[in-house]
Amino acid sequence: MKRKSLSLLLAAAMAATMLAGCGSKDPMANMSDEEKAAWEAAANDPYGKYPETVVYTTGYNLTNQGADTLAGTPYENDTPSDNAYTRYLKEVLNVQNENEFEAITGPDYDQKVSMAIASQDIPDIMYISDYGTLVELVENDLIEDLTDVYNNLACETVKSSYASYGEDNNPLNTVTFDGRIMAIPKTQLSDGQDFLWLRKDWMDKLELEMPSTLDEMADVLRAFISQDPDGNGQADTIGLVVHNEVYGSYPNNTFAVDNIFTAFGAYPTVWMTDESGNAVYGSVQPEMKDALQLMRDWYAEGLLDREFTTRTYDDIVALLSSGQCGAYIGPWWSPFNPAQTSTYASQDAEWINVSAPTGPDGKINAINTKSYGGFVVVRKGYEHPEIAMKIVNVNSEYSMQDKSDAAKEILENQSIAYFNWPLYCQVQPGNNAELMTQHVEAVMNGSADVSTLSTEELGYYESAVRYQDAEAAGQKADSADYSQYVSRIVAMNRMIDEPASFLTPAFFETTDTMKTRWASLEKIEMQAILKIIVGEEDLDYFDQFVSEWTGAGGDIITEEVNEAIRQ
Amino acid sequence: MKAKTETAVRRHGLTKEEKTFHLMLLPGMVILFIFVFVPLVGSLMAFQNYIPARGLLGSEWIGLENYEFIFSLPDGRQVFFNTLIIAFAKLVLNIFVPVTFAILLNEIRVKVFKRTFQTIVYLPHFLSWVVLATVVTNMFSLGGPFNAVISLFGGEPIQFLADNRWFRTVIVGTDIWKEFGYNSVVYLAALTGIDPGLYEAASIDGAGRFKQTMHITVPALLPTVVLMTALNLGNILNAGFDQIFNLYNPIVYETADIIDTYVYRIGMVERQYSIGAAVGLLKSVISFILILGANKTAKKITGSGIF
Repeated sequence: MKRKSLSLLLAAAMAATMLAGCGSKDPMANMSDEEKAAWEAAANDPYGKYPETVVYTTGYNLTNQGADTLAGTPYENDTPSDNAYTRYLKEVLNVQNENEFEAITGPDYDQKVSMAIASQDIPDIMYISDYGTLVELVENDLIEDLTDVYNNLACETVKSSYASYGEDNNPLNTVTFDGRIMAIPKTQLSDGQDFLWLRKDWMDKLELEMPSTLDEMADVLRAFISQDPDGNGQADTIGLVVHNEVYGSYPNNTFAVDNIFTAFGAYPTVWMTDESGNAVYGSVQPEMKDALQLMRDWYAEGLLDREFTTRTYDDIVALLSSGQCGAYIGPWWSPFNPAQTSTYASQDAEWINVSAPTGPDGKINAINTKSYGGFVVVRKGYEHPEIAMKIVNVNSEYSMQDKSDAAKEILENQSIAYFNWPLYCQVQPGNNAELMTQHVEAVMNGSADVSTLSTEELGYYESAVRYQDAEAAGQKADSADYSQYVSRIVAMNRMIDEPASFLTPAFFETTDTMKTRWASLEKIEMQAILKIIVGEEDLDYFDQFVSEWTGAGGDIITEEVNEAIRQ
Repeated sequence: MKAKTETAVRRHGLTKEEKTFHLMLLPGMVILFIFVFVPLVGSLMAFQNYIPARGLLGSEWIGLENYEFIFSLPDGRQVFFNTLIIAFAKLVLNIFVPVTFAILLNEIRVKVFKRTFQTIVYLPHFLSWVVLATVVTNMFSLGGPFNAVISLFGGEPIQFLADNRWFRTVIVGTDIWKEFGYNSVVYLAALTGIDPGLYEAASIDGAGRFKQTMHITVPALLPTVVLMTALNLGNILNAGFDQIFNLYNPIVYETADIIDTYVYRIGMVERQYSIGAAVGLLKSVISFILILGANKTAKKITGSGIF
C-alpha cells in the first residue's frame, strides 16, 4: 500500500513537471513564454532538440577491445565524453554526457554501479545490468517513474521491438512495478533453439541417415563409437560429450543437453506453468524420470562420454578438436567454437546442425530466454527524465535511418567499437539475427542489392562470399569466414526452415528465499541427477530427491515464485 | 660526554638512528592499517542484513541471525566436517612427509644428487592449481597412468575424481605431492644446525644410523616441528579453495564441498554479502583461538613460542 501511494504521488509530481516542460523551477521563472514553449516542445518530442545543451551525468560503458583499436583512425583522440556517439547525440538532441564513472562493460562496470549505489550518489541516467539491482533501486525509491516518459516518447521501433517478444515475454513486464514502468529495458536477442551438431564427414563415411528422433540419434552415436569413424583402427571415439552441469542456462550453455530432456516434455531448471496455472520447478516434475531413464541407458551403453562428470569445458573442446568425438549439442553460433574451427582447418571436418532430438510433434522443444539484457534508469528527482528515452530512440531508430555525415561517423565507429552509445541500450526485435540472415541471403541470391545491407550485415555478406570463393577454388577458407558462413547462413537457415516449439518460462528472476537457499538446492539437484545418470543410484532415487528438495526450501520458493508472478 | 648525551636523548625520545628505522617502518604500517585494519570495519556486515544501497550505516542490524541461518543450513554440518577432515589430513601429512623427506635427503652423501633432488621436488610448488588441475585430472582419468596400472593388474578402472570414496584421498595426496619439497626447506635448514659432535659421540658409543636418527635428529627437529604445527593450525579451516574448486564436480559434493567453495557459491552466485562476511569472521575467530592455544602449548612443550 505504502509503495502504491508513493508511486501515485510520484506520478502526480511527474505530471506536474511534464506540464511545466522543463522541470527545474528557477530557470523557468526567468524565461519568456517563447523560451518555455521551445523547452516544452523539445521535451515532448521523441527527437526534439533542446534550445540549450542539457548536461546529464551518467556512467559510461567501454566495450573491452582496448584503446589501440582507435589508434591511427581519425578518432584516436576521442574520449568517453567526446566521441562519435556523444557528438551525434549533441547534434540531434543537444544533450551532453558528463561521466561520473567510466568502466569496461561487465563486472568492472557493475562494480562501479554498486559503488555508486552504496555511496547513495547515482548519476542522472545510467545503465544497470541486472534485475536485482533494479529491484533494489525501486524498493529504496532511488529512481524515477518512467511511465509517462515511455508512453509519450517511445518511438515505433522501440515499441514494436518490445512487442516482438510476445505478450508473455515482453521486456516491459519486467520493469513494471505496481503498474508503473520504472526503467527502459535493453533487449536481449533470442538465440533460438539448440541443435545437435554432427561431423557430416563421419556420417557420410559410415553411410548414416540424418537423425531426428531420440532413437535415430542413438543409432548415430552407436555407429560413432563402434564403427571407427576416424579410421585410426582403434575404438577410441566418444559418443556424445556432455557438460558436467548437464543442463541449464539455455541456450548459452554449449555442450549442455537440455534438448534430450525437453524431448520428453521435461524442462529442468525452468519455472514452468502446470495445467492448473501454477508455476512449478521443471527439475522436479515427473517427466524428468523418463529423460533420466534414457540418460542412464545411454551412459551405461557408452553413448554418452563416460567421464563427463569430471571434464571441464576446455577438456570437452579438446576432445572435439582432437577428433575424438563428433557429436555435441550447441547453439547456432557454435561454429565460432574452436572445436569446429580447428577441425575444419586440420581434419577436413564438416560440421552440420541437425534438428534432433525432436519431441513427439517432430520439432525440437526449446525454451525462450530472457527478453531483456539490462536497464536504463533515471535518478529520482532528475529534471529531464525524458532524455533517457530520447537517447534510446536515437540509438534504436533515428541513427539507423539517418544518412547524414554525422551518422556515417557512427557506422565507422561500429567496427572499432571502443566507445559505444552512452546508456549502452539498444532496442531491437527479438528475431534480429534471423532478419539479418534473410537480408544477406537476399543479396546472395541476387534478389536485393548490396546497398540494402546495414554495416553489420555487409560484414556477414563479405565473409560468406569469401568462404564460398575459397571452397569453390578447393581451398580452406579463413576460419573467421568459416564461422560466419556456417553459423549465419547454414545454421540460421535451418533455424528458419525448421522452427522449434518454444516454452516461455513463467519466471526468470530470484526470490528472497532463493537468495539464501538456492545454493543448497542446486547442490541437492546436481548431486541427484548425476548419480542417477552414472548409475550410482537407482532411478527411484529421483523421488527421494524431489522430497528432499521440497523439504530443504523448495516448497517455500515455489510459493514465493507464484506470489511474485501474481503481483 | 658522548655517552651522557646519548642517555639524555633517549630519555626524551628516540635516537636519530631509531627515528630513521621507525620512519622506514612507517609505509608498512600505513599499508597494514589501510588494508588490514580499515577493512575490519566491514566485518560489521556479519551482524547486518547488508544492502549496498543503504550502506554499512543504513543497513538493518539483525544480531546473530546470519549465524543462526548458517548453522541451520541442511549441508552446513557436512561442509564443516569435510573442511576439517581435509585440512587436518593435510596438516598432519604436510609435516610428516617433509620431515621424513628432509631426513632421508640429508643422508645422501653425493652433493649433486642431493641438490638435483631438492630442486626437482620444489618445482610443483610454483605452479598454480589452475594449471595443475588439468594435469591431475588427466593423471587420474580413465585413460590415465593410474588406471593403466590398475588394469595391468586386472583391476576395474576407477574414476578417482568422480568417486566419493577416493576424492579426498586424491585431494590430500596431490596437495602433499605439490608442497612437500618446499615445506622440507625449513627442516633441511634445521638439520644443518645440529652439532656434528653429537653424531660422532653417538657413533663412538656404538649407535647405528637409525639409532642416531631417532635419538639425535628427531629430537633436534622437534622445536621446528612444533613451531610449524602451531603456525599451520591457524589454517585448519582452510582446506584449499583453489585446489578443490578446480577439481571437484557435483557428484562428489558430499565429500568435497568445503566452507570456502560453499560460501563462494552462496556469495558470488547469490550475492549474499552478509552471509559471506559472517562465515569469514567465524573462520578468523576460530583460527585466532587455535593459534593462541597452539602457541601456549608450544611454549609449554619446547619452552619457546612465536610470541
